[in-house]
Amino acid sequence: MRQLDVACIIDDDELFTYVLAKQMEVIGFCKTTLVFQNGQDALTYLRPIVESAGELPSVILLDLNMPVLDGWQFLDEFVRLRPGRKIAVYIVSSSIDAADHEKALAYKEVANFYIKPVTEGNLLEILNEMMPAGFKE
Amino acid sequence: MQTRFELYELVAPLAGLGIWEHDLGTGETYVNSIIPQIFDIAAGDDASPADLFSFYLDPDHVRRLYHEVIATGQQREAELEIATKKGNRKWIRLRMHASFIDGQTRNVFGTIENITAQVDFMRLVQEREQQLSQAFRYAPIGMALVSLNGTWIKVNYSVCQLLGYSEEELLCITFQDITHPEDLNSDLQHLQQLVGGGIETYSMEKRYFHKNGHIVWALLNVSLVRSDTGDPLYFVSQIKDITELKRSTEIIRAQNSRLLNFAHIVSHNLRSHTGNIKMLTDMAVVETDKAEQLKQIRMVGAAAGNLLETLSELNDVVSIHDNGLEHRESLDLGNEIRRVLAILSPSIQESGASVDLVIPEGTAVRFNPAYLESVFINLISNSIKYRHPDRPPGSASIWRCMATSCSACTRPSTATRTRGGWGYSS
Repeated sequence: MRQLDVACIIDDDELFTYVLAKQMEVIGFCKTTLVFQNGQDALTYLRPIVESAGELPSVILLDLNMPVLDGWQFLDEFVRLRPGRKIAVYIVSSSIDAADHEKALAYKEVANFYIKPVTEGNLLEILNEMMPAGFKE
Repeated sequence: MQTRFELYELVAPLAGLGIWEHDLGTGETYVNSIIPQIFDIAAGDDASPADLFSFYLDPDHVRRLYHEVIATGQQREAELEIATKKGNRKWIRLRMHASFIDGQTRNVFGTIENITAQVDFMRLVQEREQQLSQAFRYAPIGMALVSLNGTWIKVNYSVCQLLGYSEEELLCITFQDITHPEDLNSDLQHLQQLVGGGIETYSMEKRYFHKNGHIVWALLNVSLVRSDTGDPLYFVSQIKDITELKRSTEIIRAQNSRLLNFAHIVSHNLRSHTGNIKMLTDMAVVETDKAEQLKQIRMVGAAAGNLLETLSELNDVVSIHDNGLEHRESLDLGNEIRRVLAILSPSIQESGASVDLVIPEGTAVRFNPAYLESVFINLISNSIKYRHPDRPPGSASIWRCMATSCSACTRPSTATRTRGGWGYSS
């Protein structure tokens, strides 16, 4: 069965992160799920391991509206990190503002934009993009 | 070959030229065939100068001219109005001269032409010109003639009203002098295209500076008048004041933008909670672990509670927009903030933050007192709650005056027109 190694959720909505992590567990989305309440916490975790490809997540599910360091500020810091492996960022937001969508997709690190709620289908789509059929690590 | 006299007799009618001669000695008069036609008299009727004087509307005038010719020997010419024998009004051009023998005036002679058509035409032209001139002067829209180098040649009352200058003042300056610098290049480029023949006319929205210094928005239409040989002579400008229209458009645009922003906030906030409810219920339905299922159902309840709270907050936002700004009072900003700081002092102390209030004394704002308090309570408590974890708590929140004036403050604005506001950094 296809499964990602590490996935990272950055969102301040604890209800949402609980449900999303649970959903990911149910479909076997990844081996390890990391949850951060805001962009700052995520950066604090990522910075020391930025060069060790084995520990880095392969995918980040990022909310936009958060306190301390929001999704945009996180993205601006993240693009400067130069991680040791390719990390795909998926925006997961409640925003239906077209300007947010355009702005997000202008980052080459951003793979796609999902509007909440996230469905099982969305997660499978991400999985499929990350690990197409016949994919070999 | 005709005799000279016969030739005259034949040619004069071709030109519609009446010819006459009066012998002062014998009293005999000669008139050609045109003169009876002009006066609507029969060919054989008496047509001596004295006989014809009575047809002139101002017989004294023509009589005086006639006697001047006899007395001085100088020729006279006049355009005069007549009423013919049939009562038709006509304009004629009368030319008279006299011949002398031994220093005595012997003959008076001359010509008469019917110039009614030309006079009528000239009258019509003059009338039109006057109408145009009146239309120009009193047009409710600004109208101006502008020279090729930009000096005003002629301006109407509306232009003066629009720009605040008198006509004399305007004629001493150029349109460039009072055009907003950001609109000048575009205007000049259009004028060049007009002169170059690339375009026939142009219109643009532009800003002028009123004599008082404020900006006037205008819709400008310009065309170019050329000479018969095609040389550019001057520009004709129509200038319509659209300041009010611009202002209304700005207000509508700002309102629409606020509404759109509010719609996005509403959508975002409602979607966050309903999204959670949807995901949780989907999960609870298929959950096999009873304890986990109960936990999920409790979470649905929490999400529903959050949703209700959000709805109530959105409702508050609407009522603030509806009524909040109707009850405005002049409030001392420093005092209001010090009061809020006193309320929040326990949590400020606990977080180790300091608040540096650098608002000039006496700064006033017009606002609803209750809302001003809640604005500052939210700002300060949020900045403590969401303070940057890496920065020392001592610099958690600083009040800083970003500019010397602010549209919300009642302090007079500075000459540099700097727009700013009260800034807050955490």
